[in-house]
Amino acid sequence: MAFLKFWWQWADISGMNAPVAIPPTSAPQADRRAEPAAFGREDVARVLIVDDDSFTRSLLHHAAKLAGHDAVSADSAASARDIIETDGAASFDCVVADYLMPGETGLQLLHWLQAHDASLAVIIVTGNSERDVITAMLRGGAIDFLDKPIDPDAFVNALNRAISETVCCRAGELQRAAVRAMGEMQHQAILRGVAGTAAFDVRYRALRDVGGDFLMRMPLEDDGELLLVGDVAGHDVRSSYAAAYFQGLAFGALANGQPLKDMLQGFNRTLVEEWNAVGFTAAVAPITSVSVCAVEFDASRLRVVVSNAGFPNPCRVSRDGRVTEIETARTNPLGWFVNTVPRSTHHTFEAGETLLLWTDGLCEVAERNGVSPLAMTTVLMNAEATRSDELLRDAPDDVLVVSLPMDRRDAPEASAHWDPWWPVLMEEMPGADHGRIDALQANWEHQLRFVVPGMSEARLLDILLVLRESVLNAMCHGCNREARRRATLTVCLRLRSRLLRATIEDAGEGHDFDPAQHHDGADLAEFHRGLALINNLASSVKVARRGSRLTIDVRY
Amino acid sequence: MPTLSTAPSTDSVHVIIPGDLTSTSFDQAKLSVFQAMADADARRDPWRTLRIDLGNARMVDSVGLNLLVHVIKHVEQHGHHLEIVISHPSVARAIAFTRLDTKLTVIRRA
Repeated sequence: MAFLKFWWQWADISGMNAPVAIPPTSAPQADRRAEPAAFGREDVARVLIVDDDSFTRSLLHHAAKLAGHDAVSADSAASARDIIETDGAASFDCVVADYLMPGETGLQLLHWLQAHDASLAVIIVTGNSERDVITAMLRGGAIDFLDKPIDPDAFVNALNRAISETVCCRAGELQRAAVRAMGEMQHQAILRGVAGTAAFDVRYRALRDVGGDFLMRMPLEDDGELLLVGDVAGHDVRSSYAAAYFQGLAFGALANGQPLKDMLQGFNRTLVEEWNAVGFTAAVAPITSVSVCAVEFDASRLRVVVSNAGFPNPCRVSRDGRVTEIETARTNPLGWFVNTVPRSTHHTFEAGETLLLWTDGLCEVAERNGVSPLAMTTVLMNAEATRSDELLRDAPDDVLVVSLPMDRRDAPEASAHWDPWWPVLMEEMPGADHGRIDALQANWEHQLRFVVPGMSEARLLDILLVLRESVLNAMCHGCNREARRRATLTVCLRLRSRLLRATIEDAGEGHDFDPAQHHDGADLAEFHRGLALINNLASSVKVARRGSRLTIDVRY
Repeated sequence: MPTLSTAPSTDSVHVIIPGDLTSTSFDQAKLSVFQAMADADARRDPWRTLRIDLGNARMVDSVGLNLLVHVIKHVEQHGHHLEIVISHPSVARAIAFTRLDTKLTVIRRA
């Protein structure tokens, strides 16, 4: 039994002499609203009153009506469920349920409603204000609770708050659905950018429903093509809008013959002088900047022109398993300074090489996992979807990775046996750092375990020993332990054939002995034992530049 | 840098290397091994065998192998013999294919 405090006084003031008993609604009403409620609508809010006590039910019903709402009543949780299932939860803006009813409690109805439509606000009326009951109601999703006896003003206030909450919640859901649809369009646009090229591989994940990373491809004259990969600062609707704006502008300008450089300069000016102009940014909040890498290919894809504005330098993986960063004339991102003029650099590729690009979001994911962007690229491009999803789940930014095998004439990607090199490491180490070899080795171990989690411990140690020996040799002998001289190590994998290739180079003069001769340590000579180790552990060792470049293959 | 401990015995000298035997642990390992032999000689122990326990080593690199070569030469010069205890397959492989196993006794520990 519920009691309404001051009810009669309030009813008199409202022009009522006595409440009229309202029977529970026995059948669903016909005029249901299909659309969720929204502010400013012409129709009134609809409230479902659930109470087994007819007196209280009628009082609450009238109170809701007096407050300007449409009210429907039910005498039990089961009856309330029937009404909601028939009318649809979206046709109600609030449910007011008594806690203690025969059969199911108001709390049980609340749980059902939460599963059915979490946006529908529920007020629980209780005579039991024990802390654990209230806690359970609030944890269960109740928007509010009212103690009996009910204060009529408190009831109407709570009702209005709950209705507002439902309306806000549903409006938010509509907005989120719209943003998700925008994100899906963005995702499809990126996938469309690589459609029709089997080997052109892309991994993309927006931090939120939409993101600022983008990729677009368009044909150029003479059968060439342009790849534009970019990253608008931020990862929200604003970034998404800027990304779409840039792509539209780029497409229109380039399709009408404007040179790429002019287009980039023009957009930079637009950002600096208009979007980010003082006075304008105050309203729009953070300044908009775009990091973009434009890659122009000729028809053979062997001559490439790269323009880079604030984007991570792309990498190339050679057909013999070496990885190098492509040095570009990188400028600031577009949108920072008015005098930013992206300059292009020209590069020649060989058939079978691969170009890799990634947005800085990948660098952040790699950093979080303590691995190089190269290792992360290899894993994201090749791992099972579950592992990729796991790695990207906590990514702090949008992530976009692009892999593009060069030379489409040969189309090596068409071969079922194509087993490209995937990079793991690219390090440059001063000769003076030979004392850090343990730390370097620990890092290599971490990278290799990350990329090939199932590699046997024994094989991993063999590989580490080979890397350690060859890098120490390069640092100590090739670089003469000097800080100004540097040794480089790159490691790539052929994942299908389970082959690791390490390339170690130094700036030294090389040597005049044959490393292949140093297989045997039984002569107790205390030199060249490292070469004996390398020769015995590796599948093959190739020496170039008189030993200042070693290419070592190890099967794993 | 790992710490080294020695376990002296009357007819043999024991040295335990607690981790990898590599370029970075070389100095301390060398000091420890030669100190153990010098201590045994000072005590006039009738030792014949030097046992280096590499059971905890996952890796022995070329500098580590060179230390073993150096020690082999030293003990042979004084009429002694070197034994090494190993447990990791990678260490066993390095010892085997550089044929150091022909110059010392390898004791494998599971």
